[in-house]
Amino acid sequence: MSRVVSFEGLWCVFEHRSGQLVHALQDVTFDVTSGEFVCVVGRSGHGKTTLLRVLAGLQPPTAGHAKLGDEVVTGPGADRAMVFQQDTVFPWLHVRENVEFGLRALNKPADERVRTTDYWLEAVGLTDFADSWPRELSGGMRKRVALASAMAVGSDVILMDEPFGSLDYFTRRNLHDVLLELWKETRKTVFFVTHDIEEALILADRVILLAEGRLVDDIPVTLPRPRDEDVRASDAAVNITKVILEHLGITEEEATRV
Amino acid sequence: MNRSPSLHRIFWVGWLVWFFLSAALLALLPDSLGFVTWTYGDGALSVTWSFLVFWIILFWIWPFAFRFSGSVGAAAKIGRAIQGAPRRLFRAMRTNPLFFITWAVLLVGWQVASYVAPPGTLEHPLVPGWDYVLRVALPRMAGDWYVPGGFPLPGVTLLFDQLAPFPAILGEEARTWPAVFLALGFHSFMTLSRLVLGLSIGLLAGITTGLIISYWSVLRQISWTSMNFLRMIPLLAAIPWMQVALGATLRGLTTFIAFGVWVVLVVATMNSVANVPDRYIESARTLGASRLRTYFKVIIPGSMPELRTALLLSAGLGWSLTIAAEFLGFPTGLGYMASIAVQETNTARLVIVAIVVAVYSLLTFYLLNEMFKRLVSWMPQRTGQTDISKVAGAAGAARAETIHEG
Repeated sequence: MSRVVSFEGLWCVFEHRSGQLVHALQDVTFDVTSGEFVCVVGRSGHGKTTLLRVLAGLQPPTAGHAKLGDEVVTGPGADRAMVFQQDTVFPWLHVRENVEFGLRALNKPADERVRTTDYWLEAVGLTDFADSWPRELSGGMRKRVALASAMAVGSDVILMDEPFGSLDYFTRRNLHDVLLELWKETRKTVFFVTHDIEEALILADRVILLAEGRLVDDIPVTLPRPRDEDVRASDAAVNITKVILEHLGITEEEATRV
Repeated sequence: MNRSPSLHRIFWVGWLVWFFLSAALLALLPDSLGFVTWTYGDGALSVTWSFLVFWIILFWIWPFAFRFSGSVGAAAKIGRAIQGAPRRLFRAMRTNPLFFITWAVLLVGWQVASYVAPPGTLEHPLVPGWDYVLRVALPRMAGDWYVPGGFPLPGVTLLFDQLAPFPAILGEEARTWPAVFLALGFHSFMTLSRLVLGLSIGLLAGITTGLIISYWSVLRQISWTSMNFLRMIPLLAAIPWMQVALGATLRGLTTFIAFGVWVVLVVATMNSVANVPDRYIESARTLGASRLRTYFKVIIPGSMPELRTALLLSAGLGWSLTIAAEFLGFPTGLGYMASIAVQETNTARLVIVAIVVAVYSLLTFYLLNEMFKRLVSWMPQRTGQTDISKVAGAAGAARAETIHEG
C-alpha cells in the first residue's frame, strides 16, 4: 500500500483578538496509506477540524506541510473532495445539478456527467429525488447529496468533517452503512473527523487521537467488519474505547459515572 | 390556418410591408381624410394624433385579418377573464377579508374625518371628503392638460390640442373630462418614462458595479468608504445641483435617478455578496471549482435572496427621487401636479396625486417582485403565507396558561 496522505511537522497557530496565541496543531506527523479509513478523534477544539482544513487546502499551516502523494498541499482541489459538518448542498441547484457541480468544474463532457451523476445518485439512493430542490429533502437526504457530490468528482481521497454530527441516531447509523458500502466498493482513502468514539469504532481502520493539537496516539482498529453491536461489545473494542477515553483525559471512573 | 414555417414567415414579412405601406397610404391620402395629417416644415415633423391612431389600428388589423381563428381564441379568453372577475373578487374577499376590511375602514374613516375636521381658512378644506375630491378637485385637474414645447422627441411635434383643447390657454371654459384624464395620462407617462429609464439604468449599473467591485478584495477595500460616503449624500439636496449641472431635461433627471439607485445598490450588492455563507464557497472550492466559477455559480446565486430585497427597496427609492425632482423643478410629471397643489393650497388635488402614485408604485413593486421571483425560485416562497390566527392562537394559549397558573 502506497502512502497517499502525509503530514510533516505540521503547526497551526492562530492569534486571538486579545493577542493570545492558540496552538491548534502542534508538530503533527503521520502518514496515511491508500484505501485506509482513518478516523481523527479528539475533544471539541483540539485541532481535528484544523487538521482536515489544512489537508483540504482551506487553511494554510504556520509551519510544516500536508502532502498529497508527493505534492505539498497549497490550496483546495477536486483531488480531495470534502463533506462538511454544516449543510453545504447549494439550495439554488436541483439535487442532480448539485451532484454535477464538481463534474462541471472539471469540464467533463455532458454524457459522462450524466452517467456519473446517475451512478452516484443511485449509490446513495436518491434517484427518485434527482429533480427535487434541496429544501424538499430531509437533513439526512441532504447529507447523502453532499456525499454523492464529493464522491462524483472521483478523487482518491475523501475528507469528512463530522459530517453526520447534526443528524439523529438512526439516520446516522443508516448513513454509516451507506458510507461503508461506498468505501468498500471504491476503496477510496477516507479521512473522517469525529468526536464520537462509537462512530470511530464502527467506521475506522485506524484512529488518530488528537489532544490539545498534539497527536497523542495512533490506534489500529482490527475489529472484524461489519462492526455490529456484538463486535463493539467485544473485549478488543472495549479496550480501544478505554484507551481513547484515557487519552482524552476521561478516567474509567468518570466514564462509568456518566 | 396552416402553421407551416414558410407561411409563418410570409405572415411576418407581410406585416412588415404593411407597416410601411399603411403609413405611406395615410400620408399620400391626406385630402381624403382631412384630420389625418402630417406635415414637414422647419426641420420638424408635425403629426396629428388621428394619424398615429389610424396607423396603429391599421397595423393591428393585420393579425385579425389574416389569423382570424387565433384572434378569436384570444378574444374569448379575455372575455372569460372579464366574466370571471366578480367571482374571483368574491373568492378573494372570502379568503382574505382583512385586506378589504382595511380598505373600507380607511375610505370611510377619511370621509368621517372630513366632516369632523375644522375646514381651515384656505380656499379648499383641510381634509377634503371623497365627494369634494371627485366633484371639485378632479375636474380642476383639466388645467394641467397642457403640453409645453410639444412631444419630447426630437424632430417630431404631435398636435396635442387635437385630442382636447388646452384649458391653460383657452381659459376655464375649455375644461373637459377628456382633458382631465389626458392630463393624468400625460403626466403619468412623463413620470413613468423617466422612472423606467432611470431605474433600469440604475439597477443594471448598480448590480454590475457591485459585483465587479466585490470580486477583487483590493477594489472592495478601496471603494467601500467612498461608496458609503456617496451614499450618505442627501440626494434631495442634490436636486438643485442636478438642475444646474445637467439641466432640467429627461437626460438630467434620468442621470439623477440612476445615480441615486446606483449608489444604494452598489453598497447593497457588496453587502449581499459578503453575506453569502463561507461554507458554500469552501464546498465549491473543494469540489474543484475555480475562483471565477465559484463567483458566478455560488456567490452570485447565493446573494440573490438578499439582493432581491435591496432591488425592491431601491425601486421605492427611484419613485421618491422621481417625484421629488419633479416637485422641485420640472414643468411636467406627477411631481409637478403635486407642486401645483401646494401653490393652490389644494389638499384634495394632493389626495388624487397621492393615490395615483401609490397605485403606480405598488404596480412597479409587484412587477419587479414577479421578475425577481424567478431568480430565487429555489427559495421557499413564504411571503404572505404566515397564518396570523395560529400565531395569535399560540400567544393566547400561552397567556391562558399563565392565568391558570396564577
